[in-house]
Amino acid sequence: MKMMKKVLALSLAVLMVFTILGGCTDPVATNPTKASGNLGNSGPATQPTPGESQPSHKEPLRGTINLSFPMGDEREVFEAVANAYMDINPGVSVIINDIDSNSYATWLTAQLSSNSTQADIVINNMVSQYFGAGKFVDYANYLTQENPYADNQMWMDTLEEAAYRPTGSDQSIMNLNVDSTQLQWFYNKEIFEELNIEVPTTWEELVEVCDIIQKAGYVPIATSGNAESFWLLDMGWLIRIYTDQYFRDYEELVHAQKGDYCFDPDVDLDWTYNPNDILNDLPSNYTTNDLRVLKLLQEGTIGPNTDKFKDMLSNFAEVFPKYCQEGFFGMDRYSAHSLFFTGKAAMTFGLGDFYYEYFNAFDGVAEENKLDLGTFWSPAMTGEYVAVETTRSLGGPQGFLGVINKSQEQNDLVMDFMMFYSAPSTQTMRLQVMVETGWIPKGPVNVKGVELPEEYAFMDVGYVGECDLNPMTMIARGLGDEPTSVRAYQTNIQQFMQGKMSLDEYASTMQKTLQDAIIKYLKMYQYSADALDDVTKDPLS
Amino acid sequence: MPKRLKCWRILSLVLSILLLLISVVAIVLPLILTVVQDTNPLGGMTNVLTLAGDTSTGNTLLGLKDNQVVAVDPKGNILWKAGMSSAVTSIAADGGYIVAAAQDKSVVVLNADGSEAARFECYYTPNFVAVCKEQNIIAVSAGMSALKNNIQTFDLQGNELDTQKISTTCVGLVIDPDTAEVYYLTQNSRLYKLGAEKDGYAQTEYEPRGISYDSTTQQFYMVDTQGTVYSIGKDFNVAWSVNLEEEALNIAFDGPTQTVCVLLKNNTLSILQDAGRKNYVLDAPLEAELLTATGGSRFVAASKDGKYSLVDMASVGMQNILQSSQKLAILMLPIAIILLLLAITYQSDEKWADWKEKVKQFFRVLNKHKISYLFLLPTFVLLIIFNYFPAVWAFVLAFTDYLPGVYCKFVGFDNFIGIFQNEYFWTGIGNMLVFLVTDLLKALIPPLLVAEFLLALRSQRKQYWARVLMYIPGILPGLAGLLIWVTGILGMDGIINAFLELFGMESLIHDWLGDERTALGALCFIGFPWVGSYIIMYGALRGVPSSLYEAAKLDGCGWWRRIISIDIPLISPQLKYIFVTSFIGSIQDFNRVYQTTMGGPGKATYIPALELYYNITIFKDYGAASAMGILLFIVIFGATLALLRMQTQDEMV
Repeated sequence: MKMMKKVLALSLAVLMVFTILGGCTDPVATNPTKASGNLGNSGPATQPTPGESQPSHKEPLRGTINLSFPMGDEREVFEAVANAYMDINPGVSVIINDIDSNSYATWLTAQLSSNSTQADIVINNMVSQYFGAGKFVDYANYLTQENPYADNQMWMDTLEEAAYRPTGSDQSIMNLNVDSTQLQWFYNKEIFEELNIEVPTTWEELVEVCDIIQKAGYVPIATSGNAESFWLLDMGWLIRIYTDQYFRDYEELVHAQKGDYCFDPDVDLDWTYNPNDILNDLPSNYTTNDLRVLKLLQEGTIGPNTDKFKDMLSNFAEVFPKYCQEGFFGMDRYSAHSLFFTGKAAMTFGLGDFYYEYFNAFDGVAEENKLDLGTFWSPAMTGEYVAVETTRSLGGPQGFLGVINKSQEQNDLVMDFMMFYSAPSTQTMRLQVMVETGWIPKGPVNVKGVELPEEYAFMDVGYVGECDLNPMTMIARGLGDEPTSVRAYQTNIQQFMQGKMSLDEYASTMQKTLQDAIIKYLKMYQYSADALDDVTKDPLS
Repeated sequence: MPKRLKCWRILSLVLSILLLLISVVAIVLPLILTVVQDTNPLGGMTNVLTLAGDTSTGNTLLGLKDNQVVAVDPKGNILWKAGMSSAVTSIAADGGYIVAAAQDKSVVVLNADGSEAARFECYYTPNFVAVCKEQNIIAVSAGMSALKNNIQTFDLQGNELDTQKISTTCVGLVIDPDTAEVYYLTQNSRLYKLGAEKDGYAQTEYEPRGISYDSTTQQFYMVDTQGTVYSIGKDFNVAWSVNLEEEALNIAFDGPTQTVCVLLKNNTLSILQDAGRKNYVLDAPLEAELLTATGGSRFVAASKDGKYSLVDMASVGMQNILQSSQKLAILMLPIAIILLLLAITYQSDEKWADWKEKVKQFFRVLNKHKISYLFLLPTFVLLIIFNYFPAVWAFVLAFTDYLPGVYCKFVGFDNFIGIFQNEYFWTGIGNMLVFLVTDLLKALIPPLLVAEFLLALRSQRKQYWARVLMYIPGILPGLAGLLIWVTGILGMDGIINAFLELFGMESLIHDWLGDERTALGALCFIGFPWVGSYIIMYGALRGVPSSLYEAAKLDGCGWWRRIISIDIPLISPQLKYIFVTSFIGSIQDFNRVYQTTMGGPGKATYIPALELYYNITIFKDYGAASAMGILLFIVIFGATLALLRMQTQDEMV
């Protein structure tokens, strides 16, 4: 007992001494590193100024690159690309991590919230709220470098402009889109011939054609009308196409003005609105000030509760769901397409991946027994409210491959892989692997000098423009991607289409919903809450 | 008691009290004697976008979003304000000249008193400026994206000297006053000399966050996002580097004291001296993002809402000692308290006898059952890590606005208020009650009837086969079962519509889950005939003594009466168990809706658990999701507690 007490008293004394001395210790110790040489790869610069030539890698590359996104049947294609890269760079290991598409968004969010994710290359278009948070590498910092896998041409010179569209208000480029696609209407030629009808070019003609088809006992249009379709898929695509047709002229109002933070003198100084030019609003020709779109919405100049928008929805209501299959509102697109493939429906519409469904549906079927497929572009709506007389298609760039921001060395390595992936020779090889594995591309690739293989030549159907170039499509289905407005839109558009909500009721409800969602939209993109007080200023500042 | 022992006891008591006092004083003292001067010179004005120090005057220059440059003296007094034509993106000062750039591409040269000396425009939107009076040069880096960048140089009168394209976004710019050479730091981590990119560069390991230059020693000081500070010469050789193990936001350098100051994301300032060997850590204002050296051995750190701290290097040593003592004292405090309690315990005074006995008893019991506690320990540790910690964390998140890996802000009860305004949540509550009632009915009545029917079968062999046949559908995986129901039974081509067609009722054919009027009912119908937990009931009924049945039969009791008066009371523990588990399962189950209707059509089948899930996966509103989780937890916990209490009371009766 005595000993214990002595120990207790002594320990107290020692602790006190430490406490007193603790305050007098040296500052927090650090371990500075002396280095005599340069940090990183100094010496002759490997990042040249534009126009300067650059040799290939001086030293063999080493490291690991992790491709982590849903690949599905395209996995074999990515494996082939990865193997080809590893053959050239034996010191690099490319890991293919095929993530389940259903849980992908949740998985990706978890990876981005961690500072130690293994993933390097991801599909990132569903996590745009992280674009301003430094989580992804800006491709723009690399696009002016030379691509060693493309004869040392400047990387951006080997790509179509669509491959590297800006993704944020700061004109940063957070994903690369090597593929492209376009929405087309598909029709059963036999039914059209049987009923002696022509492909419709206007909405009125579409209504007439649908009426004839329905009276003949066929389903005129087989498509999905569930909530997902109205947002992400078929019905959402159509609404964007026609929003563009109705609101193209409003592009003048939301064009970056002199004095705006985003006014680019190279492109905006001489821009004029031209309704006949489908490329008039390409990012290389035109800069949008997103804040001006939001401001117009806030003021009520644009939005669902306008004559233009209501006219567009009235036209929709003439066709949907009247000329669609039973169960339109609950049916998914694959079930709807099966009606088309089995000859019960005369028309449907879809993107390039529709061909994959088509070929799968008729796999092993004799050529003469296959459905005779015809295509046409979206019929134009007409009347006093439309801004232009023709529609543009939906789709455009596809791929959305983003690179997660890590150390500079890792970023450089992953970007080297992306240069390889997007090089003309790799894309030619990739398309060839697709032919061999039975995978169908979504459309022409956005890499210069690369043509679709002969087997897929039918997909090269020309180009009628992209509706999503029009910033007004932001208000087509909710307010951009802002989720609460999107959900309200999904609920209300179905109510309207089912006749449970009048057009005026829908328009006023959605107008208020979108206006209320502005503050959430600003927050989502980490814009300042007062961004609309002065739309000339950078919302990220 | 020996006198020596008594002395030890008193000594230990005094020492432990002293230790406690020292710990408390060491914790409190830095709070009182802080040498970091926190002020808010802008009086609530917000949106400070940029900061610069004027080393010739010791003033701080703030660039505001509302088109102003504000000069503040070292005491925090506003000296002057100068108007700009747009939000200020960058400021630089040298030798009495101040240069400010704005988002509308204008650049203004101000005199030390704030009067305008020159105004000109640069080509792209400026992001950084640098000025050197001695060399009569202003450098402006500007860009529209990382694809379009240049650095323009002007003289102090605003005459353009040169424009050079650069290949990536510039994130820092300095001018060497001796040579007028311009150096720029790029977003992809490289430091170049303008016009001599081919000659070499230095590179940071991660994306850089700032650069300062010491013309005396000709050293650049840079910091990257991961907190590594680099001292680099003009030959791009690294003199030293040190990692601060925290995400860094900005860097500044004070020449006279040869001090590097780094602003870290954890709201601290790291003051580095002696080539990084000494690191004093001080507190910065909350959410500070901006940092500058103002001369006179002072640094200023500021947040965008205008709060800023002025750090005087003369006092850094004392502040650091105080803060180090505070950290140690925080660790010592619990030890001091324990030691004090022990010291008290071993005092001989009679008035402590009870206390002593309790303490001794505690340790005696602990020692006696140490093996049991040891075996229980891993379970509790795992429970704490995987169950209690996430639950407590969710409770904390319920009061925050949280985007993982980006921000976490306290918002009070906003998330709870948001839930009460969320129509989908309240629609979901209504649907949840419908599911709850039907789930309870489905869990209790059909299984009981089925179990009774089974018992009513005279042949044991028939009972056996009936049991097996009823059990087999339960083996089917739940998800597969749901898919069968969605497409095979309730779908357009499903069995129900096929029957309707067969019996000539085509007008009733429709998509049962795709119609708002029938979707909820169709979901309730899933699982028909809901035999579910019949096996539990059957087992329980088999345990009812046959003598009771015989006695009841002699009394003329019929089948129904027997179920009501004998079976149900005797199997009530099993019924209550099924009731409680079905109750919890019904409220928690969102798979039924998620895998079938996703809450639609419209909001016809929304339930709170689904809304919670969507708040996490789609809306990324983790705070609201946590608040919903807490509300659901309270409901389930409260109801379970009430049910268990009822059960206990029944058992007592």
